[in-house]
Parts: sequence; structure tokens; C-alpha cells
Amino acid sequence: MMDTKPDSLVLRWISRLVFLLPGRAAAKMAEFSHTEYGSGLDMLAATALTGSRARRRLYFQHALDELEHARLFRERASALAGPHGRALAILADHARVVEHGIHTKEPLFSTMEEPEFLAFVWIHERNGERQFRTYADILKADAETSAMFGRIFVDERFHVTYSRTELDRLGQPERVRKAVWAIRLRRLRDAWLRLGHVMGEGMAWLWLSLAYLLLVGPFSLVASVSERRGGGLVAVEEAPGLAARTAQSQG
Amino acid sequence: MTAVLGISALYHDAAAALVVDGEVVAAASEERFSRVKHDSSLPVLAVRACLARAGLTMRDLDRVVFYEKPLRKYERILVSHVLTFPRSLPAFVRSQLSWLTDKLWLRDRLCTALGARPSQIAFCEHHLAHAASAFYGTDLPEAAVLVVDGVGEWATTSLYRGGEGGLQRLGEVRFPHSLGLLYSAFTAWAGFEVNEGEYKLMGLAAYGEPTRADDVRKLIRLDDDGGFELDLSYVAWHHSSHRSTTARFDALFGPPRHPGAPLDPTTPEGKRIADVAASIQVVLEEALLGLARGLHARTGLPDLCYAGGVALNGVANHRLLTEGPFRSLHVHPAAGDAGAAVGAALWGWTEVLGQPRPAADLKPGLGTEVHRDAVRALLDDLNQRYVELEDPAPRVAEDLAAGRVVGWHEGRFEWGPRALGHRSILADPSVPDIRDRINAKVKFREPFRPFAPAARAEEAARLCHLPPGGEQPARWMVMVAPVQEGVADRLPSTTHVDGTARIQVVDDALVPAFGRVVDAFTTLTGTPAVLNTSFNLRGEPIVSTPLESLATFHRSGLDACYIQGFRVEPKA
Ligand SMILES: [Fe+2]
Ligand SMILES: [Fe+2]
Ligand SMILES: [Fe+2]
Repeated sequence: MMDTKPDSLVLRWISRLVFLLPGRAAAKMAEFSHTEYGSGLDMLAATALTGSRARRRLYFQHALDELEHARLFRERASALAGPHGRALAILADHARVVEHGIHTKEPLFSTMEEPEFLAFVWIHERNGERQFRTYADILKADAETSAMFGRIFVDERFHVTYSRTELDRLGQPERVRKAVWAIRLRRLRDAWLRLGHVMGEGMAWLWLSLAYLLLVGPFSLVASVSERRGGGLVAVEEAPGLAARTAQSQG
Repeated sequence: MTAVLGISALYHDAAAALVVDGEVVAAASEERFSRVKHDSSLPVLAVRACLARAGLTMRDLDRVVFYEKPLRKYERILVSHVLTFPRSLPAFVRSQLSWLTDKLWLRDRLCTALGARPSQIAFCEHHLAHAASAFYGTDLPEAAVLVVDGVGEWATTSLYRGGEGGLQRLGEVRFPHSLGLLYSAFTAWAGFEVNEGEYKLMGLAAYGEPTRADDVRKLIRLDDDGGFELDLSYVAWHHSSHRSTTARFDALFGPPRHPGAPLDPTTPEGKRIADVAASIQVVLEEALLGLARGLHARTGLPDLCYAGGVALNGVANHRLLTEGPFRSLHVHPAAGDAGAAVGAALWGWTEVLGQPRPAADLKPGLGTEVHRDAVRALLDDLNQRYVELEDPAPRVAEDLAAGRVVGWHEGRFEWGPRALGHRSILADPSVPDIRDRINAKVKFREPFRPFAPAARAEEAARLCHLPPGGEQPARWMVMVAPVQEGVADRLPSTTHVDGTARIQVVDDALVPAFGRVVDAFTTLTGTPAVLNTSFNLRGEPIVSTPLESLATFHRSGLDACYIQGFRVEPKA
């Protein structure tokens, strides 16, 4: 399950140019590794939670695939990283699994009904597959990366088809259509929230930098004269139990 | 019934621990549920699991104790930024973003995220929580207590005396002078991930010689009383959020290793990194020995309890016991920040609520478990090929003797970073190439990280030079000891390049089922130890549930997987 990226011709060419930047392809592989891992976790949770034995097997296979894709992308990212540390920094940043908004404290499966969940899976898988095709095309000169994508496509095809089949089997056509639209709206809303978050952070940087210069600056003049930052062992004369008497205090 | 919940969160490894009527009944890291390595978010899932284990709800708790004093920590961060103006601008903005939106409103967040009431919530100083995890986890009536980590509020190293009246702080070294941060700085310089790669740096040290120890000593002044002071011109963690060393550091030790660069200690470049690793290891040990002697001189007590991230350095722990003044060493098994959740809960129980000391006897299996019937249903549902065994130990022994590598999932999962026989990958340590096989097919990890041998106490003493008092830390796999003559040839896959091993003493009081596996294997083959490594793939947390064990099993080259007495076979 991936983020949507429109795959119009223009964007494809932009992607192509961006990928020429050093380290960019590796960084993208590293990001994919996290999203695939997050998808794997969601499918593993669905495996545990679904009431259907048939779908439990499908979800489990799906989970194994995504977790394996995560490993493949991780390996490719490491191999392509070269002297550009960005991809490795992304790989090391495990919190990114959560930041993608796909994996949260509550498993995706338990936040919606199963038809909605399947609609979600189907849309994400379909978009993901398209997105992968774009990148596979851009990176086709690299034999090993192409081979990896080739292997992944087989799985992705299966994810798209089985989720659609199960979706159609599970819901009335009307309900399926509603579910698909609800998920599309949800994805738009998520994209909007992400944009808002980025803008908010940008503003916060501006204000906090100003606060730093205006408030921290003058303080530092006074402090640097009076403060000593020596090391060594500082003896503490403290009666036992003192800490317990101030347990409620945060400071 | 009296119950206290301890919480560690929002810095490194988040965790929750529950003490009911003086006993630690459940404890787990959040990463074991969220499956996000080193998950530092509020441990909602771990709390839920702990409460479920005891059949309690949030309302039943007498206290919820957080593992640090957030405002004191905030003060430290502000003061550091003030003192390093204007270099600290990016670090200031980054830290304010998380403090102003999140960490400053901790009491509220604990209430909304966990459903606690404000009156339930208490805050324990960070090092006090570490100290409590080490001291109240033993049945020692009194002991010297040492805490060494990166940093808490201000303290980076603390000395305590534990006794009838509780834990009494005797002295501390304050930020930015920190042994933990210094070791992590070398970890980053060597191209390893901080908070993850410290083990690797320690493992790499075995390939090097401490030829640069005098250079490392330029960074640190060791005092006679055990204290120390760093030369801050070499380090940057007090004003930078993304660098821990300065250009002066690089000028002294050479350029840092790129994280993706190959690391082969037989090449000159690899040797350069390994020599620096060996040098910081030696100097760290000197500093720790100084602290131990200082603490011993102040307290006159013969036993040492020890926690904080640095206490996971098993090589240093061996030296502390062999060359230090203490007769025994008790390291909390989750010595890092996760362990402070247990400490916070135990402190809340004894010192805040004034209850008698817990009856001690911390067990490794404090996580969740799934009943056999549920496992059988899962295996059937997923169409797995399996056999059910009344006692799986003899069959495991046969598998291992035949050179197979197996997954082993039994009972509640372990507390702390080590697999002690509840969620393990097992193999025959006498097979020469098994280490490479496990690395290539299962763990996908660096070849210079050794695996551990697990053996009964008598055998462990024949395999390794365990110092007096060494059995205790070895039961929790927190000590690395030199192997005896000839052992390196007999057990090549669990002996490190420098002739040491992270030996696990297998004790029925802690891991009885795993003990039967070790016995069965020893009886069958005459080999006195089993290779034991954690059940996870590279970069992932150790497995918790049977489903996760299955998923890991089918993605690895394991030959069989034992889950609660079921022997599962790989897919045909
Ligand atoms: Fe995938
Ligand atoms: Fe997929
Ligand atoms: Fe700590």
C-alpha cells in the first residue's frame, strides 16, 4: 500500500529528473522499505483479526510479501546509497514507519469495516503498483534493481487482484462503490493534513528561530559569565525519601 | 490489592511495567507490540497488555509513575542552548518543536492517551528509576548502586546507596560530561547507528588493539574519587542535534567511517576503526572501574547493583567484576531506558507508597503469551504443516544435532533486549559454518557480531572463565567472559575472535523449558551448550506473538519452528 503519486507524463518526467540527483534513487528505495514494512504490519494485524479463514490465508501471504519487499528495498537502498548518507539515515529512522500515516497504534483493520479495509487495500495496491512501474522504468538501466522490481510486480499483481475479488465477493456493488469513494476522500484528507503539517512546521521554524535570537541570545551573554559547566563528581547531601515527597512534581 | 504502573517514553525505548502487591507481574517494551524498532512513543499498547495480564483497568492503579522529571530535563536543554548560543539554533528549534507541542504537557497526555487521572500520576527522577530497577530487582538488604547512561535530567552518572531507608543519592556527574554519550559518539563515528550500534562497536573492538587509548584519554580526565570530566572541544552533543563530535575529534582520530562503507577489520581502514573501537572500550572500562572504586570507598558495601545503557556493555561488566572492588554484580536485564519503567514502578511501590520491599526474583518472561489451543487454531487456519509434541525438548535436540537451525517460541516473551529462551533462534554451536549460515539466511547481520552459547551453570564454568559472582550477570546474558582453553575450537560459532563469549547460564528458576532443551541436547550430543540468538530478522524487533514467529519463520531460512510445543515445518 503506497502513497498516491499521479503518474501523468509530466510527473513521470519530473520523477526522472529528480532521480538523476545523487542519492535520490537510494533514498526512494529506503522510503519504500518503510512503507512496505508498514503495509506488512497492517496485513499481519488483518490476519489476526479477520473472521474469515479464507481471507486470513490471503492476508498472511500478503503480509509475508510486503515484509519481504521491505527487506528487498532495504538491501537495494543500502547498495545504492554510496557516499550519500541520506538513504541510510532514512533506513535508520524507524519512526518513519509510523510517520507514513499507514501504521498507527490501532491497526488499520480495526478502524473500518472489512469491505472498507479491502477497498483501501485495493486502491493502495493499485496505485502502488503503478508507482513502482514508473520507478522501475526510470531505473531499468540498473539490472539488479530491475530484477528486484520484476520480483515485486508478481506479488503486487496478486495483491491487486485478490483484494478486488474479495471486495466484490464481500459487498453489494453499491456498498463497494461507496467504500472506494470513502477511501479516496480519506486519502485526499490525509494529503491535506500532511501539507498543513509541513506548512505549520515551516512557520514554527520561523517563529522559534526569531525567539532564539531575541530571547536566548541576551540570556547567553549573562549566562556565559556566571555559569560553570565543569565535570567531575558532584557530592549530593540528600536525605533518603526526599524524592518520594516531591513525587507529584514534574520538576 | 495495590498496583503501580511504571512508564518510560518519549526519548529512547518506550516501555511499561506493572507491579502488583510487590511483584513485577508484567513488563514489555512498546516495540514488541507496535513492531517499530526503538519505538519511543507513549507505550499505549504495552500498558494495555500489562493491565490485561493482571486483569486490571487504569482506575485500579494506585500510581502511574513516569520515569523522569520532564521540567527538569527541559531546563537542562534550555540552559545548554543558552550556553552554546548561537551554534545551537537548529538544535533549539528542533527540540522546542517537540517540547512545546508534546513533552511539556505530559500529565495531560498521560491522562488522555492512557486514561489516567491527574492524581494518580507521579514523576521519578530518571537515574533514581534506573537505580530502583537494579536495586529493588534483587533481594539484597543493602547495596551500592551505580547508574551510567547518556543523560537523564542533568545527571549522566549517579552513585547511590540502597538500604532500608530507600535509595540515597551520594553523588553525580552532570551533563554534558557523559560516558554514555561519549561511547555513542564513537559509535556514530565508526558508522553505526546510535542506540543500536553500541553492541557492534563493542564487538568490533575485539578485532582491534587499543593503540589509540592515549588519544581517547585526551578527551577525558579521570579523577581519584571516580568522577570524570570531558574536554568539550571534541564533542558536540550539547549544542547540536545531529552531530556528536567536532572537527577536532576527526582531526585526532581521522575521518569518520561512512555508514554504508564495507567494514573489514583485516584491511588497514577497517583496522583503523577497530583500533579506535578497542581504545574507547579500554578507556570506558577504566572510567567505570574508577567509579566502582569510588563508590565502594564511599559505601563500604560489598555488592554492586548497576543500570543505565552503559551497563549493557558485557565486556566492561566482566572487567568490573574481575578487577573492581565488589564481590557481586547485579545488572538490571533491561539496563537501558526501557528498564526505567520497571524502576519507576518499583520506586513508586516502595518509596512513594511506603510498601515493604518486593520479594524480588525478577523473571525474564514478563511479556504476553498465547494459549496452546489458540496456536493450534492459528496453525490450522493458515494451513501449516505441524506436529504437536507433549515435550518438544528431545525433538529440538535431534534437530540441532542434525545441523538444523530452529525458531523457539515458548511462554511469555522476555523483558529486556536479550532473548533468554522464550523467543530464540537455536543451533548447534559446534558446527563450524553455522554462524555464517545463520547470518546469511536468518539474521542478515554483520559477520563480526558473535552469537551466544547457553549452558548449565556447571558447564558454563567449564566453558568460560567466570569470575566469582559472574553467574548472576551471566544468567541475564549481560557479561562477556574469556573462554577456557580448547573451547574456541569446540564451539567456534559462539566464540568471538578475541576468545570470549557472551555466555548465558541457563537456570530453571528463570527459563525452565529452555533448560530442558539444553539438557536434552547435551545428553544427545555431549556438546555442553546451545547457540542462542534472538528470534528476529535484521532491523526488526524480536517476535512476540505466534503469528509474528510464523511470519519471521517463513521469511527466513530456518529449518523448523517450535511454537508452544508445536513443531512447524517450512512451506513445501
Ligand atoms: Fe509490496
Ligand atoms: Fe503490495
Ligand atoms: Fe537512561
